[in-house]
Amino acid sequence: MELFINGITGFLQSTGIYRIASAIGEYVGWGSIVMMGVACVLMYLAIGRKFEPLLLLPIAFGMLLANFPGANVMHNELFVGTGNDPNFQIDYLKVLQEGGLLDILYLGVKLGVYPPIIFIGIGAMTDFSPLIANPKSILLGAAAQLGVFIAFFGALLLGFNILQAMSIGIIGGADGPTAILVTKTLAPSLLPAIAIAAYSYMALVPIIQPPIMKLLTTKKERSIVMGQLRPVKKIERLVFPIVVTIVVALIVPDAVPLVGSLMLGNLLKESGVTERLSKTVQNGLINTITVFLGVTVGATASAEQFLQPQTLFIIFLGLIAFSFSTAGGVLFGKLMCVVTRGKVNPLIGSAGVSAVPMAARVSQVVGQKENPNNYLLMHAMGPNVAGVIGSAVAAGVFLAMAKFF
Amino acid sequence: MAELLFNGLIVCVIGLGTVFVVLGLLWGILEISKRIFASSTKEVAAPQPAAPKAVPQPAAPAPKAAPVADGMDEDELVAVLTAAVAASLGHTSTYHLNIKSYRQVAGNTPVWNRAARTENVR
Repeated sequence: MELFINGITGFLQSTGIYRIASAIGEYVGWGSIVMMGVACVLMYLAIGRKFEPLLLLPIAFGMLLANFPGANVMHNELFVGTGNDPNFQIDYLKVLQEGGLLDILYLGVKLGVYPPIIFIGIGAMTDFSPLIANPKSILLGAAAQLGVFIAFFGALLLGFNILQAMSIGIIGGADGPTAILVTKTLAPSLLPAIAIAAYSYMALVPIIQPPIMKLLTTKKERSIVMGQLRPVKKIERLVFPIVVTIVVALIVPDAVPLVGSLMLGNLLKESGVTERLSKTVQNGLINTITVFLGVTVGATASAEQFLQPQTLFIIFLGLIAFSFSTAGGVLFGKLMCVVTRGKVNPLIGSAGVSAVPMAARVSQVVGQKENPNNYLLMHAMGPNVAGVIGSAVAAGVFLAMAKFF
Repeated sequence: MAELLFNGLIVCVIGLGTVFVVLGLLWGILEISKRIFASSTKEVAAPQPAAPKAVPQPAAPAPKAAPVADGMDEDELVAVLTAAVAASLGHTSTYHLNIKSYRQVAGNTPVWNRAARTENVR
């Protein structure tokens, strides 16, 4: 009889309800409840408002999973240690021996495997012809990285250390995998906040960008019609990925995992002889990895790390980063407009903040409001895909310079 | 703090500088490759506007030895022709059609013939 009662009590004490009830009053207990609320809000944003649902939904669900007391699906202490020990080293053998499902999947994030794989898929989905047809638009992709560095500097002013500031700045690259790769290396404890900020703002591009674009351009500039793009030869599309990889590898080797993967995917598509591989990387492979990446990044959002004032700072700095990147692109677009004597519509500059293809669509929509017969979409795709290369290069520079601090 | 901000400023300058140098270099290379391939680009530009005109001609997917214009977007052109033939034949799928060759119709057809052809094709 005693055994029976002990069994029942033991089971009841192991339930989530008991654990939550007994944890109330402790900070962490409340934190878990708040985090479940945050997870539900994110799920609403993903499903109800369609904010980057492909990533935000797995992230939100991972957050929910990880914050149930006693479920133990994710052991953050294996990856960042307990307390704030700056010299913490991951014991990978321990992760393999003691880790649960999400710990094992998280290794792909921690070792920097998932973001490049996602980039292979993105490369296979990207058409670089608008960029090849109008090469000077690549500079807009560089100018639109302005926000990365402004937010980096802002983060330093707000008291983040230099490695954390770099991770926060890269939100301005508007490129989820890039932001995740940089953050997991430089500031792992900020990973969930930065990933969520990056993906949420990417979804908000159509709301953030237009006011800035209108503020910085005149009506006349917005209604400039650009000539049709020249057709691009197959040989040019074949040479492009190879040349880009070589140039980037020569100058910023740290950007090669990202840029190299992007170009590998693109070459698989453009070569025309590896159709099966190209189809796999842009469907099965990228989707599988997206699920793993989303769930595990969400699962790192533990209450102790996420419910901090710094999370609010990160969300604020992310907005700064996006705004200044947009402004940088538009202002450079204005410069190009002057230099080419009015042949470039400055609105395509804002598309330089990667976020493919949303930012290019924003350029199209804003341009068409001034002149319904203006089709800027293809012109904006040039800076748009250049922005992906630009933010990967910026990430490579951060990763390279971080070694000196 | 001052030292930190100074370091930050250096990172910003080097970072943004590198991004511009790398992408600027790519710009230069793209312009050069444009020059290299420019000579053949002209040939490509010519058959393109003619493509829609060629549509009425291959009324049948019959194989007929004809000079094939060499261009980079041949696959695309064939796809367009297949789709056009399928559309004009009505109840058939592009899977059943196989364009083996195509030929541009000479532009010297009398204008009434051309009008009649467009009328019939439509």
